[in-house]
Amino acid sequence: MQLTTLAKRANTPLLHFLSLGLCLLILTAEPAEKSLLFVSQAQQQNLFEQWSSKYGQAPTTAQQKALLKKEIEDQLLFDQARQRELQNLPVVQARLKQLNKFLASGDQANTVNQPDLSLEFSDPLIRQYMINAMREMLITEALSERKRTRKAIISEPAIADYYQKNLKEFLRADRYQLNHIYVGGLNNDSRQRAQHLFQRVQQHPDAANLGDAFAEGSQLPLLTAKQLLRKLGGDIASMSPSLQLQQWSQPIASSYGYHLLYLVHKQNGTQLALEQVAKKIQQTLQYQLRDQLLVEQIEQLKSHYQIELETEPQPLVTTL
Amino acid sequence: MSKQIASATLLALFASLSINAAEPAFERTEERVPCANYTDNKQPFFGDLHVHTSYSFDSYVSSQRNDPWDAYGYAKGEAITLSDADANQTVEAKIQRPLDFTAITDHGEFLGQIGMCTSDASKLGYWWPHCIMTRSENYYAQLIAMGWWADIGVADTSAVKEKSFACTLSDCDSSGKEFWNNIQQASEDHYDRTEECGFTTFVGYEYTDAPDFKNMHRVVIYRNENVTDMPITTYETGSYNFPKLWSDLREQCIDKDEGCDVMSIPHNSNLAGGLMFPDPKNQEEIDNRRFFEPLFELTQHKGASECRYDRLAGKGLGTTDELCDFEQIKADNLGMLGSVHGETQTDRADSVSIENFAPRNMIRNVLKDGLALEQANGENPFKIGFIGSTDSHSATPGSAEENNYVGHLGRRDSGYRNLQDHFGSNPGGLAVVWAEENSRDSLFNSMRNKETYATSGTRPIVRFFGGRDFTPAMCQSSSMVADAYAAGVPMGGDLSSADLKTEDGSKAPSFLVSALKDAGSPGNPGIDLQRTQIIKGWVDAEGTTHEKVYDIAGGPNSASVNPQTCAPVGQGYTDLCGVWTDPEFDQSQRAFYYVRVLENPSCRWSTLQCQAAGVNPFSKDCSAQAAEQTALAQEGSAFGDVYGSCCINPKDEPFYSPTIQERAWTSPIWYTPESDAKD
Repeated sequence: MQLTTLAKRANTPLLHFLSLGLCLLILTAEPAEKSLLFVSQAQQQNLFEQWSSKYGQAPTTAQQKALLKKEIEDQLLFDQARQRELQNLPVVQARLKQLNKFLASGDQANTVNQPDLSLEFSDPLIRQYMINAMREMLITEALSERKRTRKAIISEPAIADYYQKNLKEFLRADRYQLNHIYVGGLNNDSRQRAQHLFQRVQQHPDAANLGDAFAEGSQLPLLTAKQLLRKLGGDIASMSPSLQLQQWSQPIASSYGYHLLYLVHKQNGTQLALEQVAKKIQQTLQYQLRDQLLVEQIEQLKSHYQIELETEPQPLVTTL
Repeated sequence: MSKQIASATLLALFASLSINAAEPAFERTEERVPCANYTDNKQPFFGDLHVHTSYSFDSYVSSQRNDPWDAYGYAKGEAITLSDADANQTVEAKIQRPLDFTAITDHGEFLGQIGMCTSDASKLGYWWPHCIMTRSENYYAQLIAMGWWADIGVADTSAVKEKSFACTLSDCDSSGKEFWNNIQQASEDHYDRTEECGFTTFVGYEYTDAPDFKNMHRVVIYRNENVTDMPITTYETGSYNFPKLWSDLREQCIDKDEGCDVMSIPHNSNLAGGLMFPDPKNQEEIDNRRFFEPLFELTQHKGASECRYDRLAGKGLGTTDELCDFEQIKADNLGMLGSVHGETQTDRADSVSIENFAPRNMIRNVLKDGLALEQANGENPFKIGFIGSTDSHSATPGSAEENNYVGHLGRRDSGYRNLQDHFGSNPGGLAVVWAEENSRDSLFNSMRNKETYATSGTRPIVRFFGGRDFTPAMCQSSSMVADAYAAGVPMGGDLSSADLKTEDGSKAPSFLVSALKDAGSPGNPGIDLQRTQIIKGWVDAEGTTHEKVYDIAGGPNSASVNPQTCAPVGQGYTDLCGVWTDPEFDQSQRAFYYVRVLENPSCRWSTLQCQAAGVNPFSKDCSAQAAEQTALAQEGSAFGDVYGSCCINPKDEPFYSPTIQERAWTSPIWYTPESDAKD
C-alpha cells in the first residue's frame, strides 16, 4: 500500500469519530474498584492471643508484623480462591456435606443434598483447604508460565552462581589422624598422672603404652574437629588445630578423662567441586524458586486490593 | 635412640595402615569412594533403622506431613516442623546430635494406597471418603480412618488382604511404585558417597503383620541400591506367615544375583502375644531365619523386650533380675496404642500378668530356648544380636533423647497428648554398629555379623570380646582393641570348646568388657556409668535353661536426681573396664553371654515433661498440681485427665518409675561344645 493511500484513509470522518470516542473513554473511565482486605482490631487481638496461648508469651513487634502479614495474605488467597470457585473442590464439598449433616442432626435430610454454602466462609478447615489449594495453584501457574516462555526452571548458570556465592558451604573441613595416651577419670589424680606421662613420653616413646585402655583404641581414624567433638567431647576438638605434627600434646580433657594427643597426619580441608554438589544445589534452588514465585504472585495480586489494618483508637485529648 | 626410631616407625606404619586401607575387611558391593576414616579396629556408628514418615498410613493420618527427605534431613541435624496436638504444623523438632546412619522404613502395606489418597487430586480414588478422612485434620475423623486402615490390612487375620476401595477407583499400584521410587531416591539423595562418609542411608520398609493386634512386624533393610521391585508385604504373604517374607526375599533379592542383599529385623516381641519366635517348622525356616534375621530390635518407642520383672508381683518372666522392669508395656499386643483423651479404647490394652505373659515375648528367654532347641535338634534357630531404634512415626530418626522428645506419632502424642495418651511409651533407642567405616557395605557387613549393640537412647561406647587368654592387664593396655580382636571374638561372635583348648585341657572363657560413658554434647553432658554386667544363659544336660547376672565393673551406688531440677546427684564412672572369667563354666553346656551397661539414674522423659508443665512427680502436691494444669489444658483443646499420670506412685505400678537407668545391651557371644559346633 502506498503512503498517499494511507494518508487519504486516515483523513476520513469515521476514523476521526472513533479516535475521539476512544480518547474520551480512556479519560473518563473510572479505575476498577479495589477489593478491601481489612483486619479489624478484634482480629488482630485474636491473632496475638492465639500466639500467646501457644507459646506462653506475647508476640514481639516483629512477630506481630509477621502474623498480620500472614493474615492479610491468607485473606487475599481465600478471596482469590472464592473468585476461582475453589469451593467446588470435592474436598470442600465433602466437608460442607459433613457439616450440614451434623447441623441437621439427622432430621432434615435435604440439607445434606443442598449444603449451606455460607459455611464455606466460616469453617476454618474449609478456609484452610481453599487457601492451600490457591497457594499451590499460584505456584503451578507461575511455573507453567516460566516453562511456556522457555525460562529455565533452574539453569546451570544459576547453580554455578549459587555454588560460587556459597563456597563455604561446600568446604570439607581439616581432618586429623590422632594417636592418644588415655588416662581415665576427670579427677585431680588422673590429671597428674597424665601430666606425669607427658613428661615421660618426651624422653621414652615407649611410655605411649602406659595409658589406660580406651574402648575405641589408641589410634583414632581420620576425623574432623566436629567428629572428634562428637566422639570424645571436652576440649579435644578445639585443641586439634593447634597440635604439632608428630609431637605429643599436653594433657587435654575429654568427657572421659585426659588424653595426650599425637598428631600422626593432618589432611587439609578441600573445596568440593561443583559437579559433586550440583544436584544438592538444584534441590535447594527449586525450593527457593517455589517460595519466590509465590511471593511474587502474592505481591502482584496485592496491587488489586486495598489493605487496611484497623488502628487502635487514639485516646481522646481533652482540655479543661 | 633406637627405641625412638622404632616407635616412630611403628607410629608411621599404623598411620599408613589406617589411611591406605586398599583392601577393606568387607566386600564392596557398590560404587563409591572409600571412606577417609576407615579403620580396621572399627568404630561405633550410631543410627536408627526404624523410622516412619508421611508415607506411612498411621503417620499421615496423625497429621504428620514430613516425607522421607525431611526425615533424613532431621537425622543429619536439620530442623523439621511437626504437628501440635491440634493439627497445626507449628512444632519445631531438631535432634541434639546428628546420627551416622538411618533407614526410613515406612509401612510396605498401603504404600500405594496412601500414595493414592494423599498425592494426586486428579485421581478419582483421591476423593474416596476413606482417603478424605485420612487427609482430614479432624481428630475424630482421623481416628476412624486409622481404624479402617488397621481393619482392612494390618490387624486383620485373613490370608488375603483387602485393599481400600480407592484402589478400585484408581491405580494404587502405580502410586505405590512412585512412593517406593521416592523412598529409594530420598535414600540416594542423602547418602554421602564422598570420602567424608558423613551420613549413610539404607533403603528399607516395614513388613506389617499384626493379626488380631499381635505384633509380628519386621523392618526390612537392603544392603545397597539393588532392591526388590516392590516391598514384599502381607498382601503377598497373608497373615501369620512371615516365613514367606523370607522365601520371597530370597527369590526376589538374594537369588536374583543382581547384587541385592537384605535382612529383616523383628521388633516388639513384647507385643507379639508369643507369636514372634515360634519353634521353626522345618530346616528351610531355620536357615532363612538365621540368614535373614541376625538382629533383633530390642528396644524402641513401644517398650523394651529384653526381659520382664513385675515389681508388684515380686516375680519375673523366667528371671529374678529386678532390673528387668525397664520400659515395660503393660499389655502384650498393639492394643496399647488405642488411648484417646487418657482413656484406653480396648480391653486389649489391659495389663497382662506374668503368668499369662508369653515367655518368648522377651528375647532373653528366646535366646535360652534357642540353646535348648539346639541341644534337642542340633541347630539353634535363635542366634540373634541386638539393636535399638525409635520406630518414630514423626519422621524424627534418632529422637531418643529424653530431654528433647516431641512424641513419635504426629499429633496423637504431640504436646500434652504425649503424657495423656502415651505415658507408657518412651522415646526409643538407638542402633550402634561397630564398623570399619560409615558406608553401607561396612555397616551392613557388621550388622550381619551381629557386631552391634542397642542403647535406650543415650550413646555410651561398649566393647565386648570373648576368648581364652584375656587377662585384667588388657584394661591397662593401649593395644587392648587390637589384642582382643587377635585373641578372641567380638560381640555377636561364637566360641567353641576348640577355641578354649590348652595343652593342659580346656579353659573357661574370659570376657573383656570396656565401656565409656556417653560423651554428651556441649551444654548437655552425658550421665556417668553405674556398672557393667554380663548376663549368662545356659542349658543343662536335662535340657533345662538357666540364667545368671554378674556385675563386672562398678556396682550399685547411691546416685539419684535432684527432685526439683532432675540434675544428676552423686558420681559414677566415666569409663569402666573389666575382664571376667566364667566361674561356673561347664564345657559341656551351651551358653550365651551378653553385656548390659547401666548408667546412673536420670529423669524419665515423662518426668521432664510433667515438670515443664508445672506438675512435679516428686512433689507431695503432685495431684493438686496435676488437677490445676489439667483444668488449664481443658480450657484449650484437651479433654479428660491430662496430667494425672504424672503422679502415679511407683509403688502402685509394676514397671513405672519417674527415674530410669538408661542402658546398653550388646549382642551375645555364644559358646558351643566342640562336637556340636556348627559355626
